[in-house]
Amino acid sequence: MNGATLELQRVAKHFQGVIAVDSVSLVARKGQVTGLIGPNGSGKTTTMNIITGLYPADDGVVLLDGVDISKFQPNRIAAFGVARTFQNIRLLPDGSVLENVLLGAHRHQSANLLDVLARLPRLAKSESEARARCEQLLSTVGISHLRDVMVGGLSYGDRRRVEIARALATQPRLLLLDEPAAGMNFAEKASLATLISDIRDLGITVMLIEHDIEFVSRVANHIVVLNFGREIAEGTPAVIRQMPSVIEAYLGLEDA
Amino acid sequence: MIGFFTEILSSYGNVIDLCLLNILLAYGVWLALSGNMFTLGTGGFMALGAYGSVFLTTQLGVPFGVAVLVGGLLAGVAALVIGIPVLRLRGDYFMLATFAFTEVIRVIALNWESVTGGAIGIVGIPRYTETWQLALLAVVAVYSAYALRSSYFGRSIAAIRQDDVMSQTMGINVLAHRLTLFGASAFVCGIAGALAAHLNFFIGPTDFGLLRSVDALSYPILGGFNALFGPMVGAIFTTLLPEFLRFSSQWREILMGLLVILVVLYLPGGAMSLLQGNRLARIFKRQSAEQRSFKQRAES
Repeated sequence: MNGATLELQRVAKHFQGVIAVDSVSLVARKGQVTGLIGPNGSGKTTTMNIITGLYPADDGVVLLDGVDISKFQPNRIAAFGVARTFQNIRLLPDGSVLENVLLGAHRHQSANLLDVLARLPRLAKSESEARARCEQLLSTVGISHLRDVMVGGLSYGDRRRVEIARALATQPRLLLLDEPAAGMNFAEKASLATLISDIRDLGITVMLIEHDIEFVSRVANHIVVLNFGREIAEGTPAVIRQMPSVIEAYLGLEDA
Repeated sequence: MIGFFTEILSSYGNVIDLCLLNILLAYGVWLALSGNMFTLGTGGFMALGAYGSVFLTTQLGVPFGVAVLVGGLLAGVAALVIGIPVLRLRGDYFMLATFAFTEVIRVIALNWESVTGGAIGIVGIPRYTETWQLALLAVVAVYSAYALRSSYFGRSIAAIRQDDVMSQTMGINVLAHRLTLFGASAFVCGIAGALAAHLNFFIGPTDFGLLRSVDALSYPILGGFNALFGPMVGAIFTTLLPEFLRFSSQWREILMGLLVILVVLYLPGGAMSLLQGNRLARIFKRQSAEQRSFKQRAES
């Protein structure tokens, strides 16, 4: 799989006078993990929603390998190679793990409506190819054993893995992860960090929203810090953690 | 034995025809419902199919089969045209807009006397619709529902129904899917309308109003639209109920209203969820999934 470089130029989004994203410019380089951190309400998720087309940007452009995708519909952006997970896990609880992951493979199905209604061989072929690919992904994220389990009964960490597998099933060039480590314990976080590195090694560009600065530092090559809808710092994890402006945004001023 | 069947057909033929027709209608509405579209446009689409096909057979002498198909296509095209603005609406507003469509068609039928016969309607329509045709189409409808549900289209549609935002980010063109479903639903309803017109000798503007739309909507809801045979069970039950309540048509409507309320409140999966024990099965499955993942974590 080939990663793509994501570039945001002065992206802005207002909600009826509330400035969610004031002006964000950032680059997520091909084949790297870029961390997007910042306190609550700093515009991280809004930025992700703009990239995936769920919110139209008021201003600025979103470039994927140089192509402006900011006016595309969400499904077209997905078809263009952008996949995501959601902060508040959005899976179909009554479906099995495999069924949920298969949803990501939808856009690669070659059977058309006629094949479906007439049950032509092409349908079976397309379906078995998609299943094989998704089962492969289940083993990539380490939940092969849960294939036929209903998602509603899974643990939090496993549900996050199902979401990641589903996003990978769309065969993305850019994967956006919205707080994937939220609610995970120490061991789960460690194995998630390994998984994110594995995904990066597949060549997919990863952008990671996260609260936990320890976790981001472990997996990200590059970190962008947002506060009040603007990027206030960027650099390698080691540099970011020393920056006074970042410490201020996260911990507040000393001896105020 | 054959005598027995002919006797049943002759005394209950009308009821059987009506059941089959309503089964067809039920799957037409199911198509729209499966995309989360609570349509009240059914009456309007049936009227288009009915008046269109009757015009073709009686005025232009077009063969019955072609006329029915054109009637269905007419309704389908109308759905695609109104669908583009209407599908942007959600829930109640979608329902109101489709209801408005049915009303517009009814008013047109009432006033365009040269084609529709106005308030009097069209009398003396030749009875071309045969029981075997209705049965065949009902089987095709059930089969198509089965084929759709068990394919990746079915998975996408289920996903759109539950979470359309997420579905879009998976690369599914939600608007195109819903428009297709709405058009297909109207096509089936149009065909049902055309067949109904050539079954009853008579059509008038009141045949295809709000009541018809609500009735049709209640078939899959009563029967359960998550189950393959749900719309069929709902349609048969709703069609047969008045036969058992012949002594009072008021009782029929009171009972129907009561049933819909009870089903929506206590049996959201429809009657089929009782028969299949779906509810129990799902609860059981979820529990066993929890136990399994718990065991696995304990083992690892």
